[in-house]
Amino acid sequence: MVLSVPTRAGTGPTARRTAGGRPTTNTDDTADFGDFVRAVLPGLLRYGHALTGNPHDAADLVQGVLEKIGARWPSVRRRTGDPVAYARRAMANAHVSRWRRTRRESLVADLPDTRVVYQPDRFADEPLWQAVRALPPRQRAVMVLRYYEDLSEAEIASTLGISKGTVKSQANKAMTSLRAALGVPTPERRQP
Amino acid sequence: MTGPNEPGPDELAERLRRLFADDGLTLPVAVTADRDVVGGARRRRRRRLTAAASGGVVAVAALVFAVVGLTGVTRPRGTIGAAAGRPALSQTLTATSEPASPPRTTTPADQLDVLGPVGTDGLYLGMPIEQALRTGGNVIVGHQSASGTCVGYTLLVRTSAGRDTTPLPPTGTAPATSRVAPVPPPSVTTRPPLPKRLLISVLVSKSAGVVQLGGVAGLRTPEGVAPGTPEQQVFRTYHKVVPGDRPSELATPAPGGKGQASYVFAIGRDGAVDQLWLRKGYRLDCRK
Repeated sequence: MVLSVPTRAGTGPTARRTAGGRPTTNTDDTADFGDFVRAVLPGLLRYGHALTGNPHDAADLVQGVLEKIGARWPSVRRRTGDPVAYARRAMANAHVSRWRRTRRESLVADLPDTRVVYQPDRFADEPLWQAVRALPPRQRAVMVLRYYEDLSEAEIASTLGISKGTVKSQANKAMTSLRAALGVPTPERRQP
Repeated sequence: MTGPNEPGPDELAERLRRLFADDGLTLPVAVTADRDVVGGARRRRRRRLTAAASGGVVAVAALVFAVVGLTGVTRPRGTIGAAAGRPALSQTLTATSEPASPPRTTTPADQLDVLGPVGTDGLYLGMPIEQALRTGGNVIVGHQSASGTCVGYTLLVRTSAGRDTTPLPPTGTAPATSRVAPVPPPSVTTRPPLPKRLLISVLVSKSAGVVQLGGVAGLRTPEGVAPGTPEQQVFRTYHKVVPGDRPSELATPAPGGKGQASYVFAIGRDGAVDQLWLRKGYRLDCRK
């Protein structure tokens, strides 16, 4: 990935920049945010893909969160040491809360051009991925935070604004569903 | 209580980790995506400030606009080919099975930051983790756990151009024992500025600090090897070239470096350098 930074005319504002110093003009802020966006887009899109289960919702989610961050970039920069972690938390929350508001818990329909977007088709057909996509949004978010971001139970709880107990129960439900989806059904199950 | 064919909990956890690490999750980024986001952010900021400044009808309209934009009740705004609203972020760049990669452009040497045998841009091999992550206004833009004890970060660092007014890094400070590839001398009159910020991928291990850095466009070795350099040129430039971690990697001791400082080059399908790193050792050791 190549970063391209627009040539800046004049040397006034930039001359004030020192090692570790903060940009002091609006132009610098915008350029800063632009750099940030270019740097984080691929990673956030990927993360959004895991969170939402499809590219379109992923793009939508990332765009919304980044724009909101951009609208407040100077204060986000000031208050957060790790703006991308902040963005990811915002994405996890936005994803869960949006679904809760619209009460859509079914699988997002596969659009006709989905196959073209997924470069290796084998991934789209991967049973575990299908099973993850089929999870309700909050369970899926817990799975992503746990196994994509490697967050602890406490971190997941604070990210989503829920209790550790809820995290545990959501994780258990998710694992049970995934396990069942992957296991080949047999006519007789041995009782425990 | 698991059925006979269901994976056990640890196995499932491992499969989930592998699933989320799979390349298939990666989405291609549209060429204009970053501009769209920056533009959208600017619009939101204006709306927010306008709503705050004037009360009444304007504020209500702005609020309604914002609410409709946020919920996206019918379809997500970012659908491919949507005419109204903002353009899609994720688009297919190619429909073939090849992963989309940017066309190879050879950046002129004076536009590249030099990855020296010790490090670059305030980062060096062996640097303690906390220092690497916080030094000089570095912004962490990515965090991925690599294998073993190594953790990967993508840092947005200020290049030498971004930190002070010295425009160009020194070229060719290699000792006499290495063969230096010719590097075009900087032109005195028209010289485009170096990027002020650079993405650097940094790998740290708990015991050894930074064990690898680089891995992005915008870097070259002091001897002039950069993304786009043909493989044969690597062999001509360095005396001792050995395999790295993978069949597609070449490694060589970094001239002027100490300890096990090595340059590692990933050779792409076209037989040219794809990426380069400064690594501790020819192969990564993430066991401790």
